[in-house]
Amino acid sequence: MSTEVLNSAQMNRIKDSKDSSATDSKSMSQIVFSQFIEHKFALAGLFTITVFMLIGIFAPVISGLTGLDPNVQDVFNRYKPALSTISYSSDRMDYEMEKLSDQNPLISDKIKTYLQSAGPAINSEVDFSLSTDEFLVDLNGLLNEEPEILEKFKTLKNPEIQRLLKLRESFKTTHLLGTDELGRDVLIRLVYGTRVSIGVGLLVAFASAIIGLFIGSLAGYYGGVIDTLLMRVTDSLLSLPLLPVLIIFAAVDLKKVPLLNFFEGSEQESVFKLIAILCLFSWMTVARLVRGSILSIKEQEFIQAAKTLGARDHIIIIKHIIPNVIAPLLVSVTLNIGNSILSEAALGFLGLGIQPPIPSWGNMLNNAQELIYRAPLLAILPGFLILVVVISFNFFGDGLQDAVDPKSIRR
Amino acid sequence: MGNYITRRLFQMVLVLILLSFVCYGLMSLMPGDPLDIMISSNPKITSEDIVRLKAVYGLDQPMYMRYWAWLTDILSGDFGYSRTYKVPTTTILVPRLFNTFVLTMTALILSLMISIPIGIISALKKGSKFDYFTNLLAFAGISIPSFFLAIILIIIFAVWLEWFPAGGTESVGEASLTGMAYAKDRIHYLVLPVVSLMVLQIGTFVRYTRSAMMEVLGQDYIRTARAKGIKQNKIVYLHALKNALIPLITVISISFSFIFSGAIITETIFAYQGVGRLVYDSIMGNDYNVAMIAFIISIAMVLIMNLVADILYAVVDPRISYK
Amino acid sequence: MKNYLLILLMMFPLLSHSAISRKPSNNVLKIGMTQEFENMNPIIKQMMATSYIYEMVGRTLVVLDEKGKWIPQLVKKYPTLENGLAKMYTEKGVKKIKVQWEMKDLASWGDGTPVTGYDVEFSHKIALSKNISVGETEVYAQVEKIIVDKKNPKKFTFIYEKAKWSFNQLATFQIVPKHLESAVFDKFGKDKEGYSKNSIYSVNPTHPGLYNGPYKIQEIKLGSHVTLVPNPTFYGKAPKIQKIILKLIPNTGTLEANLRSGNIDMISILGLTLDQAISLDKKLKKEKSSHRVNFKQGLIYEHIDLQLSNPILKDINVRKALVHSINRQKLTQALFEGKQTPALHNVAPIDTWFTKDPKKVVVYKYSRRKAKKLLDKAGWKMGKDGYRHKDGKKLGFQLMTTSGNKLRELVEVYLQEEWKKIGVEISIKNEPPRVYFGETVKKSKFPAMAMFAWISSPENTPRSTFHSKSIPTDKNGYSGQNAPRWKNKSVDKLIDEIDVTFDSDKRKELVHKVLYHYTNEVPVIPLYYRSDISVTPKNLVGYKLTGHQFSSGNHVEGWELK
Repeated sequence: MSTEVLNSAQMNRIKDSKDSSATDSKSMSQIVFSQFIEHKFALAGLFTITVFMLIGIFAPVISGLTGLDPNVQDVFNRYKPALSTISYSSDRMDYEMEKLSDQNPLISDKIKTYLQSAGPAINSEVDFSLSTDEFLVDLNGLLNEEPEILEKFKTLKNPEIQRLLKLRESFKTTHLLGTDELGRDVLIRLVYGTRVSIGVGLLVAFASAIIGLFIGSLAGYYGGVIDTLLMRVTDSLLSLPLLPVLIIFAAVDLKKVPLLNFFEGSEQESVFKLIAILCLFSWMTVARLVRGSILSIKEQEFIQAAKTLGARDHIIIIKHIIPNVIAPLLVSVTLNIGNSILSEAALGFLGLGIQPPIPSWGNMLNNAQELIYRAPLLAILPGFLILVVVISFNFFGDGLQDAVDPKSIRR
Repeated sequence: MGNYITRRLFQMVLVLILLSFVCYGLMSLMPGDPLDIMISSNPKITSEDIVRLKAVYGLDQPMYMRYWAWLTDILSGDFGYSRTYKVPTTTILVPRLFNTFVLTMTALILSLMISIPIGIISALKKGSKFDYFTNLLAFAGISIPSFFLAIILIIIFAVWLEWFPAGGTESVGEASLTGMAYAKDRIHYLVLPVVSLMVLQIGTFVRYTRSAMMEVLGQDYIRTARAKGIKQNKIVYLHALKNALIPLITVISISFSFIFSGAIITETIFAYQGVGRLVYDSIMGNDYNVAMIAFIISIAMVLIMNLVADILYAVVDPRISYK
Repeated sequence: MKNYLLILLMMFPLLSHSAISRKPSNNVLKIGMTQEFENMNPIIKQMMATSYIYEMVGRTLVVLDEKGKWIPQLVKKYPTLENGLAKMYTEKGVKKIKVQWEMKDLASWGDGTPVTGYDVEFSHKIALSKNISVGETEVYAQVEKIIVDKKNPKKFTFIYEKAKWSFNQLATFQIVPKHLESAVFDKFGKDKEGYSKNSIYSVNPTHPGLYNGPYKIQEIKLGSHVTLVPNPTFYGKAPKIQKIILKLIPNTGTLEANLRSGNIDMISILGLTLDQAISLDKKLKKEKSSHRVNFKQGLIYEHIDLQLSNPILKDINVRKALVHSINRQKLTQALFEGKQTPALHNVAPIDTWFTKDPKKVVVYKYSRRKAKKLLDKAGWKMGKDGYRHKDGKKLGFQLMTTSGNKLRELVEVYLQEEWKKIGVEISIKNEPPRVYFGETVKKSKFPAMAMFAWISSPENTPRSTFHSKSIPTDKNGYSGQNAPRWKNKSVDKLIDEIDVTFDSDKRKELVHKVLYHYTNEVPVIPLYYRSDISVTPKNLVGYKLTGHQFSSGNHVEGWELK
């Protein structure tokens, strides 16, 4: 209620300053910009957000550069501390060897024939009876167990053997932030988690802004029965206890909801379901804000003028009204992003959030919370990242609000 | 004014009944009924058992019939029976409501007492170090995931320092405490959950107070007063504060409407016997009667507090009047 | 920002600090658990936590002990055909069984009233009455008639409607006091759930006359805690521990924090997750702490049901390839650190019916090569994308389980990667338990794979899970639990035969034949048997984990804190 009043007041002032911009040396956007950069926290927030967004966008590139994959697991190397370098467990090595002989059976055969002719000093322990696809796995096991034979192998000049040895050298990874409950790299999962968590926040905020804009403008512009009806729905939704209702929705079967069964069965189903649920309950404030602004704008001369000139309703809404509510809308969207990230984490805590193996900060934190004594970093890192990013969005929104609010210009 | 309130109250009852139907419908939209979970873990239950149990639970009736039965029961004063706990709904709900009330009310009042002065000071000293610092903390407060904060509080204050218990509502099993000793015991258990709730609330209230105060301080009459050299005139500031109250009323009334809804996450982590956790369990366990009453109470609180806020506006600002 | 970094840095020493060193005495033992409990009426109770508590305050006729042996509780002797207490006879062409029971002389309710055959007869009547919500009635319904000896009401006779070998496995046959409850039942028994609502267990749960076990309830606060004190009229030896407090702490993390901060002394089997237990175990051992973590191999069977109506899974070669390609040994070693055992089939090693004899059941060795060959044979050829294809279709399945169960999610992701190695694509979809069990599994709606567990008792005939009549359909109201839709005529016949085979060796043979078909046709991928986990103070003696559904509360009178 009061926010509506406040915001329509703000809008008037913005317009005032626009009208006078001809005589002013600075343009509106310049004023906003100069106001914004004065807010140091907001600037820091914007910077942090940009960094994390880049991390999120380039997650696959980071994954490619570091050779780490968020889903590759090594269950024998679980809960390794930060900065630990681990060599692959025999299980994973076997798999790598298998992959090599599958993709390139010639190598296996070449090594086999070479070794067969290499003399007993080297090949006495090698089992030649094995088939192509088993030979390398077995040979690798032998080299693991017998360092002496490994030394001898290093002196051999055969290119295939050298290639094999080189491959074996690469059988270790450094985990900057350690590994998680399945021996996956925590750093790369956090990187991908950035993508999911911020992505969810952005999508929810934008989608609910669009819904809110649509409903708010309908109600505000047409008034009367439409207004009453839409606003009663909005009020009713606002008076529902949020978390319990979210829980119910999270438990509802997607198959029964016609629009959403599109995602049914896909890996990302839980992500889209979460976005849909959060959207359903976050458009109301936007709708009220927009309606309030429109109520105060629509009586003003330029709208009346457009109407008498015969402009169609949707033209008036899109061309004249929406540009005037964009600024407060932007502020509310920014703040909404932070809230959505927090809601994702909260639902994740109740086991109703994004499902594995997709990493999100919320489910990483939830997974780690009961093991906080064994692997504290696993819980602290995602928790800390949520805090940092949400705080950044909030500061950014605050700065934006100050900047578009002309009262702060006069201060 | 009296007329206006009567009309609003009448509307409220209508909205309440409508929303209760929506909630009931939503709950029945959830797949599975109370029996299914029971059946699926026990391979010995037969199809006859299922038919019999469905009839006993009334699950063979369509949703609107069950809703109607429920509504008439409520209106005749029968709050029903909890399926999960096998006791009357009121037996399980009333003490939980009380516990939640104690928890949220303490947190709310303490937060208001702390945050309003801080917000005012920081508005008056805009741009000072104090302002920066409170701003940072306020934002941190609203940005930290509540369960993360709760876990950290438990580790520091319960496990490491052992100052407060790691969870619970009161000491159990000791000789039953009375009077001051009982109050002291309850407070001991309340500290951590209250603090974890307060962090969020203080953040919110400080921000609202500060911005409302700055809004008023930017008004022409205050600026005129300042320009005229009345630098620290108490009367002016009191006047400013009174005007700053209006937006605050909304925020506070919204906060008050949640004093009976409980804080699901905080209550779960601290094993606090409040209504939030109960609602979560009864949704998950399809305990309609308990969940519905809890829903009704929290919806009613929101509606009532909205009305109270509107009336308070008129009291604070005589320009606003309702017909 | 500096502040947060400081706080963050401060936390590391905090976390590593905190050795548990406490020695609770016989005065009081505080036990933590994560699951909710309801009122203690044994006939209508449904929650696991309620059973756990009830076993400390109430006893039944017979029970399974921690060694898996049936022993008498309230009665003097465990009746069998061999000891003559049970007799087979034929009435109107139907084979029936008649069993003589006699209550222990000292068996009495907490208010001093003796426990008699009349209580048993009354409980039987309540359990089978229409307006009461008893889950599983078979245990009561199999008893056609109860005759109480009027001269000595401690003696009574059961007449069973059919002769089944398992007639004496009556641990879930619960008994309530007739002298207190009959008035309630007479008054409210006719209303829907009238008895449940007005039972003294609901209205006045601390009435001593309701309990006949070693303890009675001093205080019960639903959703919070239960306090137990010794019951002076208990028939057995007097318990040593003077007070037991069972506290509900729903969050497992907080549960552990409570143990560390001394708020509780012990964590029940309804508590820690396996991962938590493993790490706590290591830590306690390293610190030489005053507590220990107990593990005991259990009966809970985790498995993946395969949807046999799925066109790809219809092919037995594909199913066999799926089993061959997962290393269950490694899974249990790596993820459970050997604290749980890999499963061969539905019968757990602690069950007398268990066998791992490769002559009797098909044992699948872990071999990716074999799996690949089987898939090649089935026509699924490896493509360039790393997955197998046939007729332009990718070899992929949807794997489902309950969301929020961390261990299952862990196993799920592990298997996803394992199957990827043989070119099978697994997409994961998890649902909240109520959706999953209420719809997906119950109605056998999962498209390919469903991971969950059966909680069974030892020597449990797998009728409802293996018999083709137990395939859930619209017709039978989705009552069966043969979710994979497995149909095998010889298995159906064998199951019917098991019920009426009284010779235990012969019965075992029949069971092994069923297991052969089960393992050979792979309608289900067995994963592992879950273990019971608890944390106890080291000075607690006489405490033994059971591994089955009748918990260590059944010997709570032997617990002692030294």
